[in-house]
This record gives sequence, C-alpha cells and structure tokens, in this order.
Amino acid sequence: MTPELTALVLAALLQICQFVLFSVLAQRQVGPKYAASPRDTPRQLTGYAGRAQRAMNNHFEGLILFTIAVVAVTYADQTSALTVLCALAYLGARLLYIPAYLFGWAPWRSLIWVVGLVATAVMLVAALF
Amino acid sequence: MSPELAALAATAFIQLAAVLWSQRALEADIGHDGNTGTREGLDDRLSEHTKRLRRALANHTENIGLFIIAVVLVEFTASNGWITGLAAWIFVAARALYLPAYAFGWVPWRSVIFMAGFLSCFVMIIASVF
Repeated sequence: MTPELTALVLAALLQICQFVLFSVLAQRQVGPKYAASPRDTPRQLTGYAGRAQRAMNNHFEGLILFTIAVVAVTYADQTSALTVLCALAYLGARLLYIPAYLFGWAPWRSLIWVVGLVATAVMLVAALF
Repeated sequence: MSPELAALAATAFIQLAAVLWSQRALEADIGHDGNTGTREGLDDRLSEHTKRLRRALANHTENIGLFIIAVVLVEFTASNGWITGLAAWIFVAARALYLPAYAFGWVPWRSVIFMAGFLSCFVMIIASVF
C-alpha cells in the first residue's frame, strides 16, 4: 500500500470517527427517538452538536476531492515525495479541522481548511504531469 | 469485473433511482417549471414526502463517497475476498432499502439499514489494510 492510499484509509476512518462524534452529540441533544424518526419537522442542532455536524458535512465534501486526487496519482503512477507530503498535509489539516470547529478557532479553522484544499489541488495537478 | 466493482456500479444505479424518485415527487409538488426554475424558497413549497426523498438522496450521496473509497482501496491493494464481496453487496442492499425506509418512515429500521451500509464500508476499509 502506497503512503497516499494509507492516508486515504486514515481519512476515511477519520470521517467514520466524525460520524460517531456527531451522532453521539446530536442524539444527546434531540434524543434517539427523533434521530430515528423521518425528521419531518426540521430541528436545528446547536452548540457542539451543530459544530460537529457542520465539520462532518464539510469533510464529506473535501473527502470526495481527496479521493479523486489519490485515485488519480495512484492510477497515473505519479506518486512522489510531493504527493506523499500533500497527502499527509491533507490528513493533518482535516484532523485539526475538528477541534478548530468544535472550539471555534477563528480564523484558524478557515486557514486549516485552505491547507487541505491546496494539498488536494497540488496532488491533482501532480497527477497531470 | 470483481464483485466489489459490480457493487459500485449497482450503487450508481441506486443513486440514479434516488434522483429520479425525488425528482418525480418534486415535480408533483411544484411542477416542471418550478423544477427548472431557480428554486427560491424551495423548502416551503415541498411536501413532507418529497423532503424525505431529498434527505434520503443527500444521505446516499454522502455514503457513496465512503463506499467509493472502500472499493478503490480493496481493488488497489488486491484485498478482494469473500468478506469484501459480501460487505459490498450488503452495502448495495442496505442503500436500496434505505430509500423506501425513509420515504415510508420505517422506524427504527431506517437507522438499522443505515448502520448496515456504514459498517460494510468500515469492514472493507479495514480489510484493505490487512
């Protein structure tokens, strides 16, 4: 397994952990009965539960692009020290993004998010050349 | 084509079915012109049934991402085996059942079905590591 694929494994496991965190915090707020219902009356999550939900949803978006980047560099055989570094930077950024959202580190959360996006973009460009 | 890749193709068709179903419900609420318009204040104009289908579709879009990762990892590492094949098709079955479970309010089965699909991805990702 290449380092980029290992980073993809860890990023996916991180997202599963984020789901568990969100699920626990959300169910403590709205109760398991509402969570299992079809949720016809929308309920806005607040506090830590809302932040955990927004952080998780953001990672769903970022994770898709990162998946494309890892698949592209791996298939195209364009892995290098640079793409390994980018994959690690992505992973580190997405890990830090969680406490940054939960504890409201502004403007650091946005900067951390940019690191993840730039790392993904560099990998995508690296796959082309 | 491995069973895992076939399952990925099947998942794409479930996504298509989810889009078509929710689109049909949406057009029943606001008509074809409302659908092709810019959808301002959309939520207030949709029925409960349509909103359920749209939430189910959004959930499917999220989970398909994790499943793509799981399939890609299994294929790249050549970790295919009966466990990954079984998990992949449990995912397909779970996601197919998830749509009616949401639309018709099968409580608590919708959550159980979701967990079956979610855990299948987890099993495949872990299998790719070993």
